[in-house]
Amino acid sequence: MKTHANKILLSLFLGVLCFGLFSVNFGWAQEIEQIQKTRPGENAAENMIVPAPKNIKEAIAIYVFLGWMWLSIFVLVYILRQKIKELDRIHKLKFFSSHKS
Amino acid sequence: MNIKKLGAGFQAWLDDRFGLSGIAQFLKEKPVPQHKHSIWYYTGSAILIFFTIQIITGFMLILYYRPTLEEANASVARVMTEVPLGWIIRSVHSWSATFMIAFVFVHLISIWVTKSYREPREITWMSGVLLLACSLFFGFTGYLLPWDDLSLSATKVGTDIPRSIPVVGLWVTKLLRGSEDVTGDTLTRFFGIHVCILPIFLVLLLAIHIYLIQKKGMSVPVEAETRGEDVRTIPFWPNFVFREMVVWLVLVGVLFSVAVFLPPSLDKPADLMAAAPEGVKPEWYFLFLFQTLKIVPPKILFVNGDTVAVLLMLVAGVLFFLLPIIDNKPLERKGKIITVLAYALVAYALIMSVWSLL
Amino acid sequence: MKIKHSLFTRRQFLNGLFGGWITALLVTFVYPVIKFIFPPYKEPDEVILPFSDFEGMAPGTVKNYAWGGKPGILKKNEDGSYIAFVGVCTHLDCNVSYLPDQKKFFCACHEGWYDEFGINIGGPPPSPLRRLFVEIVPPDLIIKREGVK
Repeated sequence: MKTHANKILLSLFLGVLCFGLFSVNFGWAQEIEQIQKTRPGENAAENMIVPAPKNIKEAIAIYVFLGWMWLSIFVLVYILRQKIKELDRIHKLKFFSSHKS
Repeated sequence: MNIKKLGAGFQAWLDDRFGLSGIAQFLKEKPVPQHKHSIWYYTGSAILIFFTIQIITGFMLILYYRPTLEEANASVARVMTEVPLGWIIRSVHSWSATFMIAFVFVHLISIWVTKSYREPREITWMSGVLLLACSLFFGFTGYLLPWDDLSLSATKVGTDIPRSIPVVGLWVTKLLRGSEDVTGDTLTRFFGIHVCILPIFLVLLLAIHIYLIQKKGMSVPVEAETRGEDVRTIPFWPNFVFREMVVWLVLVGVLFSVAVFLPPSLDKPADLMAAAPEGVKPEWYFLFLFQTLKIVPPKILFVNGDTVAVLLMLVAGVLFFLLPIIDNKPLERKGKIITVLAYALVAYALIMSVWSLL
Repeated sequence: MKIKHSLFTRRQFLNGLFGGWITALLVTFVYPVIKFIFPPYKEPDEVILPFSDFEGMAPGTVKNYAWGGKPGILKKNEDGSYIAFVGVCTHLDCNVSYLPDQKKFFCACHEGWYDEFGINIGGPPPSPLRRLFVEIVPPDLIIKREGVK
């Protein structure tokens, strides 16, 4: 990718995509008990175990975790890009100057 | 005591014994070319990141998984319902497998199309093809472990395919299954392959692959090489690695978000005697092979259709492995045809995969 | 208060922030891993058993029952009362047995001895056998953890 701005845009887009496109699954936050015990005679769909958080506290903890994770990713990517700019600057200097190291 | 001095002292102590400062110096000087196709350089470490996540989540899942016919499904159910956040760990493991294999394919196509396998990197390519086979086999064996109806059927079909090979076919099927049929032995066997045998092979192949990459250096596109241009480079450490870290962070973020919102569910335990459920299909990376076998007619010129198809696939596999030897004139017509072949195969795989889902 | 020179350079600040933030992010990933690896173990508050199983016990004898994943020992005393223990040695967790002729509990692993009330009297065990509380509410025999109503 040519510019770093593109990378930020791409990650924003992916983030929005995840939250937007997959928002149908927000339903799991409202459903508290997802454990389906196998009962004889029930059809296949009801014998499935659908994973979901056990209670609302866990659901909120997961949302908070995801929010913190994405915030951290944006901050760390920003700092990394600053560092990359600096490293590239130093590298160019070395390349064009006559120092030995 | 100054922390910095302590740190430097400790580093010197280690270096006296391991002598790794040579490696550190090598990484600081290793040049990574920068050109319009440099973006594909990021695919290699992306695969490694997902593989690392597989190891970590795999270590965690193995603490609870029971590889026997009676308990496999129940142990996965327990992980998903009783163990705290177990469903997320399982989901991450499942999605990271998909992402890893997807990036393996992208990596492969990019190497093919840029012809990075040309001399002197032939063995790097060959070890890479074997790594692809390992990754796919990881996926195949892992898929059976929850032991539900869908995974049992997919495994029955998958392990039946080698049977059509003449002479050795039945032996291969028996080797995979542990007997003529899929049984509890198949599960135990697949588990051992998935957690012990394959990891050892993969790590050995990876060591060879990575060593060769360092030894031969990063390849540049063939046009730049023949023009004898001096390509601008940046040092691997720290310039390129920091760029890779940006990619890793975003990939891990996407992985966890997808894993949380689209976790895999678990069907009821497999019944060896029951009829196959509807909609049997393997994991997405096998769909194109699955569809190819579906459309092959039962008989081609008096030979069993499946036999022809499987033999063709094997031949294709061998040619694929020997690609650097075959494509010894990358800039001439043969080379150009081979490049177009890559695009043709991708198109074929995509069309077949989509068709199998309809 | 104004200081003459910075405590740290801009580079040090940025590196510190970066390292610190990555560490914080990793810790948030490590927490669920720890929770996964150490699942919660809850022992029962009480165990309800049918009294009929224990009514006919001769005085001075014991019967086992299940206390979560551990063995429990129910003893009928000479006076007809019941006393319940968790049958696990307080030394290194081996299961103990009752020797009725000696009226003592014995742990075979390192020859630990407890008297008929579970008090440690010989060998390595550092403390008495854990006592549980017995309540007879016909038709049940209820064995409770300490502190449970």
